Amino acid sequence: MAALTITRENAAEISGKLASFPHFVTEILRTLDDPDANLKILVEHIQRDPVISARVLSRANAAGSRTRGSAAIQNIYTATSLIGMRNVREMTVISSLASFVDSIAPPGLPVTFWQHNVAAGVCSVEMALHMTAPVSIDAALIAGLLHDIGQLWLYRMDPAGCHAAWAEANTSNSGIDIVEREHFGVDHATIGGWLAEHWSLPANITAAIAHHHAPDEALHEPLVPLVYIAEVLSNALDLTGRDENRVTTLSAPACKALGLVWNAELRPLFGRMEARSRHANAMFQ
Amino acid sequence: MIDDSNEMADAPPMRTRPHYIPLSDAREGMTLGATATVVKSGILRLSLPAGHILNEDSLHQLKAHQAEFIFILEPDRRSDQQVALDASQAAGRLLQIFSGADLTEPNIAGLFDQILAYRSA
Repeated sequence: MAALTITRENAAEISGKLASFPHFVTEILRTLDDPDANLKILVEHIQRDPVISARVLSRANAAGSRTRGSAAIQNIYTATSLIGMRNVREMTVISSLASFVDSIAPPGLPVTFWQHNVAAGVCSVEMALHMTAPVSIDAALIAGLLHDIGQLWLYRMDPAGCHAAWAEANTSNSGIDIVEREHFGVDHATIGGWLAEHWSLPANITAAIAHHHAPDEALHEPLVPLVYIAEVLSNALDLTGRDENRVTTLSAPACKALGLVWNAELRPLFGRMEARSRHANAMFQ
Repeated sequence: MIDDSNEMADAPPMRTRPHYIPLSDAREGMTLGATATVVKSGILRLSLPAGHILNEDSLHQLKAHQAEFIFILEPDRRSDQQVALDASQAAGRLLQIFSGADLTEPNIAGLFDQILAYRSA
């Protein structure tokens, strides 16, 4: 049992002492309906970050090598117009959140932690593209990338307790959320929801993080079942190959809310999730 | 010199394994297992037919249009024994992942069956 009683207040307070949530991500979300402002924020952020600048320019030059001959692309606006704003935004958001997670990750956190979150982010995007649900692709990506942020917080507080909880979930075949509530009095999804609220993330993203193990309570928000199913699929497909990949339950109401029918037509979706997850994780290794 | 022409003529056609790969893994000589299309803003920008064998030009086109993945048919040179072993291992891992699940529940069973079929392809 953790010595600390975990509450909404101390989760936010401790998180605030670790690192600020990237302002860039909240600004990108705030301006999704204003493409000009969104592009300006995106380009300014990229220009300040040499690593992401290099990634964007490298990808643009690979894409443009056939049509532009040897003239290298060195301008972020040109690069963005060539490879598409959605692609650049996705690369930049993943990079920004990877840096944030890296800055607060405690020693010993398994490398598969972030790989799993990237896989869930990619699966959420693919689900959003596949479904007719009215869900923003960017919100799906960010909710997927942050869905387990509460687990990182728990690991910072009690790494030994987390390892014990993961081992128990694996051997007892109980859901990790159930085992965490027994160990810590609260589960990582609830803590993640508190953190998202503290960072002033949009209500749909906060709900998707908070309910990613219990979607039935918030099915009115389409992002909730979408991120839930995306995570189930990332585990079922064994993306990242981590030991903790388990499927113990599958909410029938969540499947119904998304109109999901488990048939052969979904196999191309599985293939895209697997290929894009591998690609995204390779890019940010 | 040994004449093996009869043996070659009698050999069964090469098996193939269909799967999605990120474009970064695509190489010249790979065969598309399904039509590769790139649609941007509702406009079809690129279409390569199923059966197309990737070459330098088509790889450039896919990169230029920011395709992220393709569906290919990969020659499957595994023996029947290896195919059976791989299928058994895939099923074993899947059973481990679903070990805590109630496989009589229709949604869980549907998901399990589809993932198993996908892994067995």
